[in-house]
Amino acid sequence: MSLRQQRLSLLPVAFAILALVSCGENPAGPSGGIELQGVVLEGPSGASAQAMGLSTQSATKSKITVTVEGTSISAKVSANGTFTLKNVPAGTFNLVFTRDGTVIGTIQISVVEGSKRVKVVVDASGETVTLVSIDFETDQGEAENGENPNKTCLINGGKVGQGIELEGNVTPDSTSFTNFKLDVKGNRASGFVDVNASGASFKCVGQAGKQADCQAQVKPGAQVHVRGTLTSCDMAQAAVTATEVKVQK
Amino acid sequence: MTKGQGGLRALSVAALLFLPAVAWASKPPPRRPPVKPSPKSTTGPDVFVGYSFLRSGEANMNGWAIAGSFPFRGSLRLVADLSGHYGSFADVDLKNLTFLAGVRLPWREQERLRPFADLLIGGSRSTSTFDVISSSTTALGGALGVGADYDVSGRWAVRGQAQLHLLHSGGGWDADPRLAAGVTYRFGR
Repeated sequence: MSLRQQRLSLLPVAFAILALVSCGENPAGPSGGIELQGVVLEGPSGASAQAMGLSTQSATKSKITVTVEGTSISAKVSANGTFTLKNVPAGTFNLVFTRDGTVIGTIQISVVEGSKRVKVVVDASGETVTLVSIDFETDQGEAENGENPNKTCLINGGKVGQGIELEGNVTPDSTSFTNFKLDVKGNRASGFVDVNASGASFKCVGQAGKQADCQAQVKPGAQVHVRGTLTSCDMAQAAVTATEVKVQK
Repeated sequence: MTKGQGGLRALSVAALLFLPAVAWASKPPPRRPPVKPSPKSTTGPDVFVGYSFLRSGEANMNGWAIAGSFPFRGSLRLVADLSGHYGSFADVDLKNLTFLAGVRLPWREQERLRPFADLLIGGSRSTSTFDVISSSTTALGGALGVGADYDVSGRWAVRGQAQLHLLHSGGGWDADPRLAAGVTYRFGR
């Protein structure tokens, strides 16, 4: 075989290696300890941001560092918001988010027994860090939406007293924009959530009108995005005190 | 797998990809037949279209790449490189669009196997979407790359390429390896 033929024969091998490397969804599998995969959403959030095509705001901020409290397990969040923490402890621990050494948020994680991988999504576009989603993956595969046999809250990863974001439709029996019920059907939760919006700011997607105009649009059937604090939660119902209510188009 | 390990693996593959070129480049020339100019002109513009893989942060992303180069000064060529990558990490959908432009230094332009090196600057826009929540960031930076074209027929060649994207975002730098493979069409002049 000539040198040229040899070189040519190596090309398919190289391409095959390239294809192999790219196959599979992030094969960074756990090799013993629990792996925590996370994404920090930093830019403008919510369907409103998508609809209005808002530009980034995170490019001007410093990088976020994520640390398991009380340990040296730490990672910097990459430009696209992803991070991985290896060998996180089983049980309950705090994830601390810092920027330039200043704590911007803490989230409590309770790992489901038997989990090999935890997937966490947080929103850091506001003043603090809010847990958006948490899923657990076991040896038997992914626990559907982090389903936990010991689960006591209809919202996956929902912790009473902590920040939360939800989206759903205002139920027909809701009569007030300050206190309404939300029918949530999402990846994270499916059920009814009572929203106390008496102290919330109101925004309407794609409109720069007055708050009162948006408040009037919080009516049965309206799709709204709520940011606030989870005040109670069980498997039948949850309650949120909202700081912001966005009425979607 | 940590980001470092991912980068190391990607760079290892890049090394494998270009071993033939390196081995060929280091081969002493005495027994080679006299260099004949390629029947296809290599001095005109070229266009590349292909598959592209990007290790962006912790995520493996697949996508496409389109690039073009044009003779500039001496053997230098101007390059424009546009690529889109898509993937998922922690159940979040990720999208990345990168535009880079710069210069390319080719070697052995008249040969069938033509290695080259790129120095590019540009930006990258990443969008992460989970349910109704979406986040976008723009990072500026550049890329260092090497690659090679291998003539297959007429004006067509296959190309393998490896780049290291250096992106500045959030007060820090990210180094994301990228691999691409595809076909190149060269316009004669």
